[in-house]
Amino acid sequence: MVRMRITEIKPLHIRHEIPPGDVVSDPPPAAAKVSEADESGKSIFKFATADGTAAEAILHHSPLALEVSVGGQILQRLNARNMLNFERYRTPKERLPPDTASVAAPDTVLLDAAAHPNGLDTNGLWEEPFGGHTDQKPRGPASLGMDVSFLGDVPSLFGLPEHATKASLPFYQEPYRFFNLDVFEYEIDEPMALYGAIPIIWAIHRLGGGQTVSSGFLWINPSETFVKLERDTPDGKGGPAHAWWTSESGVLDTVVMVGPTPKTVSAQFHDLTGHGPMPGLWALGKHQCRWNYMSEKDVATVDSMYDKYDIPYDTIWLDIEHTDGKAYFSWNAAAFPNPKQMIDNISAKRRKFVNVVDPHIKKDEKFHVYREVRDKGFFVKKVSYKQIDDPTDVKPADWVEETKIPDPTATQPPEWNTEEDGPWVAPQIDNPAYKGAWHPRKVNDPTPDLTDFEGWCWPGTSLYPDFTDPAMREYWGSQFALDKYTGTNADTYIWNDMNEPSVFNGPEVTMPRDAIHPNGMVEHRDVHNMYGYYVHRATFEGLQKRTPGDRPFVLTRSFFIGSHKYSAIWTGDNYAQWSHLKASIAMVGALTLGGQSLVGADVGGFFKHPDTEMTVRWYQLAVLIYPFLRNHAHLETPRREPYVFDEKTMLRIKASLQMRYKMLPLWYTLFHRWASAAEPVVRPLFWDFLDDPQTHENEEALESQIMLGDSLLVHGIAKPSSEQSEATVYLPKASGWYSIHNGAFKAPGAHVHKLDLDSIPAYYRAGTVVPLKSRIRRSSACMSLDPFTLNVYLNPQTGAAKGRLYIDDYRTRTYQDVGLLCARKIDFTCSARLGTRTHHAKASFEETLKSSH
Amino acid sequence: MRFVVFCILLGIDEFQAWPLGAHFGDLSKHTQAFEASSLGLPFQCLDGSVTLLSSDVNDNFCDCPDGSDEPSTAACAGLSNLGFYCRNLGSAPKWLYASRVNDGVCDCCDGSDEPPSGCPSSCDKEGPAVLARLKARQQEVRQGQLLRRQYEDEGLQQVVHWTEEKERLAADVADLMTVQVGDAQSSPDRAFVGCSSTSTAPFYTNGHDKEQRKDVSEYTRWALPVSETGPHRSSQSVECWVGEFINAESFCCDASQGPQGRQECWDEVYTFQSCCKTWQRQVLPTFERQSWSTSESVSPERRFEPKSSKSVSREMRQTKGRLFSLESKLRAVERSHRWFYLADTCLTRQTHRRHTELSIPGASSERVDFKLCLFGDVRFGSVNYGSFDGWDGEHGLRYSRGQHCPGGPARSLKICLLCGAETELLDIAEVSLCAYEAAVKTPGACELSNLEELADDLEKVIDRPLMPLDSS
Repeated sequence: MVRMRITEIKPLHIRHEIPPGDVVSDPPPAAAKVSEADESGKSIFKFATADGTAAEAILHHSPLALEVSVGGQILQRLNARNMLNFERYRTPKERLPPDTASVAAPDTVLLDAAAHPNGLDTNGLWEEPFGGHTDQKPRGPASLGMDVSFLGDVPSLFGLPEHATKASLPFYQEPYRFFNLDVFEYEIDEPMALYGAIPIIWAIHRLGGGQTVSSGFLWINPSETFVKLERDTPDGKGGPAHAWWTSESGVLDTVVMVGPTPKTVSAQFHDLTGHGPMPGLWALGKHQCRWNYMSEKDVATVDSMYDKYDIPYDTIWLDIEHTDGKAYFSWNAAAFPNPKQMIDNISAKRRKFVNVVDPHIKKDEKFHVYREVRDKGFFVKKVSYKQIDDPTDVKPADWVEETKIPDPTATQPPEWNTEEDGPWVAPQIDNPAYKGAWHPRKVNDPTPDLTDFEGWCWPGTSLYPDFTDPAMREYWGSQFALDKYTGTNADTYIWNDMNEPSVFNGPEVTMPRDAIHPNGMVEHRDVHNMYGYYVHRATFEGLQKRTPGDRPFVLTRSFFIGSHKYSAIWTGDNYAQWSHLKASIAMVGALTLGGQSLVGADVGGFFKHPDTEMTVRWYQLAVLIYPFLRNHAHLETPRREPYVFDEKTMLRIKASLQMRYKMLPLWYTLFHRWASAAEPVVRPLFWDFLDDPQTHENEEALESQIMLGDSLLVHGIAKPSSEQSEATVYLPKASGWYSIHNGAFKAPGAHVHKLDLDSIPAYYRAGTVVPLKSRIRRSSACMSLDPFTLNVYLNPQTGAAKGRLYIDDYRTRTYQDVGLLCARKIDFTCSARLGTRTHHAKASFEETLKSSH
Repeated sequence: MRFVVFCILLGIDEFQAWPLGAHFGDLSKHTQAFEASSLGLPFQCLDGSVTLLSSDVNDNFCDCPDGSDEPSTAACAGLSNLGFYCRNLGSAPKWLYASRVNDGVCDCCDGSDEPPSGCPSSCDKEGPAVLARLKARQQEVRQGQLLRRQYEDEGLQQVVHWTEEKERLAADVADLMTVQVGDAQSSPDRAFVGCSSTSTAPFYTNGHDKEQRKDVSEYTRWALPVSETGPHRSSQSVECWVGEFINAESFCCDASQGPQGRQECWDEVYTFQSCCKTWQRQVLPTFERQSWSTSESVSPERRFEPKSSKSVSREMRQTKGRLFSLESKLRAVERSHRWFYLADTCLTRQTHRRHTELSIPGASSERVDFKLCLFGDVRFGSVNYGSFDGWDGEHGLRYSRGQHCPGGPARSLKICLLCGAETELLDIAEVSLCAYEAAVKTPGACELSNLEELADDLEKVIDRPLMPLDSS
């Protein structure tokens, strides 16, 4: 990969740079062996990718441009259209003393509105009103931008999470926006900003000679960022594709992942940003959440109802209502008088528990976290802007301040009798040289008063810790210690919601950009898109310390590049609508391409209530393609736990969940591939079938279908049966496919699939061995010592099949720390001629792993 | 095959080591099949789908699609048809899903669902308590049963009585109306106005309406059932005055109208409102809107009732109230006569406000009276949580149209009736925003099957196994 960074030499204010290790691994991946040559006007860097592919980066000096090619084919050209722009910090002219003549010389190359000679619109550069708020912008404009062109015939671009858009990114008129926000009831098929930002683009390049490769482009900047996708052709199809990026502040930091295969793009991304940890197996099970389970009895009832119907689930969740007045880390004593016992009862069934802990801190003197964070000075600050006398401005020596002077033209009258009249005094007249009262110039107070920023959130008046500060994160993490966070046990894990951050009365429901993070006196605008990242990272690190050796689990709504190292994410407050069910396929696919494999959407939608058919369809899809499988619901909706429905619906949901639990060994093995080999667990079709052009451009297939690992293709059904009785499933070029439901063999190509309510189309790729567990119990932990079942889906041509199986203790870090794991390749070959007979084999396993329960 | 198995079974003197987890309490197919397999005979899955070798039974591999070949193991976990039976000697036996066997969680007090030494035996400890609980419950259900039968008998008479009274009162109302009609003719200008048109055109342009008006006073009209008020003219857009509620309440409220007086009043108002559209055309003509908008200084009585008919009106009012109360009671017994005993029952309990109210600072510890009138309305403090809206299944009651939550839906409640010797409110929970569920114990909910099940359970605890025990 090739990284290009541009910053300002000796800037007036520090340009914010992301600390090493936060996004880009520290130390960064070792530089490839590069041969460097300077020719006239350009520098040429030759290197090879990890898999030995020759690559080249040519840096053109003026105008600056970077061409990256692989195997002699140029894939990306940075600043191809010369849109590079870099606003340097400067002193605002308007606020300079009037007697200062200094005006920065305009740059002829870089477009700089603040100092541009041609009268560009300078409104909003130094102060910008928005929706009743005023962004003070004391440091002035500091934006930066650049374009990148993806060359060759580029049928589709993918990625840019998080947007509720399509898998194959539409070329909207509006740019895609990255500005993490608490969005209420988001729209589908829009480039509007959502909760998190991973500004990565995946491109597919069809080159000459039928060769197809892929590459990635990453824009690393945590300030507000826009990217506009453009085509040369009016019909918006084919040819090169362009992306024009711009960010509000910081430095320009870009990485080209040269690929040339999807697998290598993923590997390069994770080399750069780090590998994700293995989640606990239980995190891949069913999560049951609701805003809100209201009492200990409510929790116990939900738990026992799952057992009553023998429906598997792993984790029960409590949302904000469990707290004492939304002071997190506390319990509402009336409804949860004995939380420890409640959670212990869940633990006793080998299940887990998740509590919500949001980052806004209730302003309440009785709340220890408020007091302690305040006293440590860790809260984000508000600046009380004021003007002061410029101490450098002294009264000029020749300043005339006398308003009156004796009239110089007057003379003592001759009749003046000094003895009688006293000494003659000339009459006073206005002093013509009077310059007015002298006042020193007003300048912005260089050290304005900083007070703790207060906003509104669930608890009412709330304060927001500066999570960019490692000391604050350390403090936050320590709050999860079992002796601090009373009522919890070691099976309690954490959900960080509202961490964009959500500020109900702030501009766009978030923090004002001119708020100050005391850690380095950084403006919020510089770090905004990473706030949520730092919150969930602090929680993750706290849980790590709480239970050493355990695998923490944190769910976050807001995220940034690198969040995959710490947290699961979900696609936020979606809607019980078919369109949201469908959009989740593309959203999950985009997020996994951004490294975030532990991801899912709320099954059934958060807002509103799904009917039984939508609920069933959503489960059928979710169990096969949502790595993070959670059922959640808004406070105002009726209950929707699987057992509340009519029996038929309940049984369909149960069958889906049983299938999920049956497939847990496959999921877990795929997560091992993610953690160790950077392979996304769920991925768009092109990732595995790049040579099949249908996976670049078949819209129905791209938007409805997705792969679980390299073995299972899933087609989501996103319409009620009254509107859709059959689905056209596109099976990519492979040696064949077998229905997951009845084993029927299908050749690659488009197939019309008659629909019924019992299942959605899903096919195993021929030639795969799928590890399963056939004993479905009440939680994944209860199944940990059960035997495996291997389903073998033979390649009909070769009679062979391959697969993998990964086993460890499912819950600790021993797999990492001491290598206690079992990762096996399974090669199945069949020498005899194949028939269609089903063969059941019995085998017994010696468990090599001891459960440490 | 089955026949063979059966015959062999008869020839067995005593049971050999019985497969752990198999239910031996009855001579079921299951029992027979296992016995046969223990003798080395083929085993047929209970759904008849597959026949297995005897060695396939309980070999920790699930062969039968219905999971019936593995009663001792978890091999068929997830197939719910059949399960694992814990004998739990000394306590109550228990059926488990196969998924519970060998899963690291102790489900049986005898520990039989987990590997030996996996779970301490606790049957001796919990047995007496289980027995006592079952006996107490049996006692309670018996009492409930007796009461239920009594209520069934009494209910029959009561309902007959109520029905008769209702008919009588209806006749009275008709009589009173006749009196009032004459009365109203003498003072039509004093009658009551409840509705107004949204259209500016006067209603009474139609001469026919004028004619109608002379026949009866509008007060009387209100007392008439809707169907008797003549043709419905839906073409006229009409709105009801807000003031109508206030005045109509005092119009019908009377202490004589039973325990739910206020609620009846409200229902009455709704009735007025619904009939408003239907017959305003005949009612309104001679009255002005202003008579309502300046109502502060005018007492409701004066507006509703022509003085000359005051005593008749009061009688009418009381009769109507009684009639309404009866109708409400009859609604309670729509499902079964036995529910008559709950017709006037209200249950009260002090409880914490939940959820929505918790958002109000300082309110979390507030305790409020929850008052549930079973076939009337539900109040939590001063807030209406809904009114009876019909049955929901065999033992469920639905209450709807409560006061709206701030920014939320109208409050509603579901009640689940459970068998008990007395009528008592057990628990209230808010299951989603402003939707509540409560459980009520009451004799009427006692079914014969409750007692039978309990007797079975008790028998299992009290009587020791009929079969010899598995020595392992």
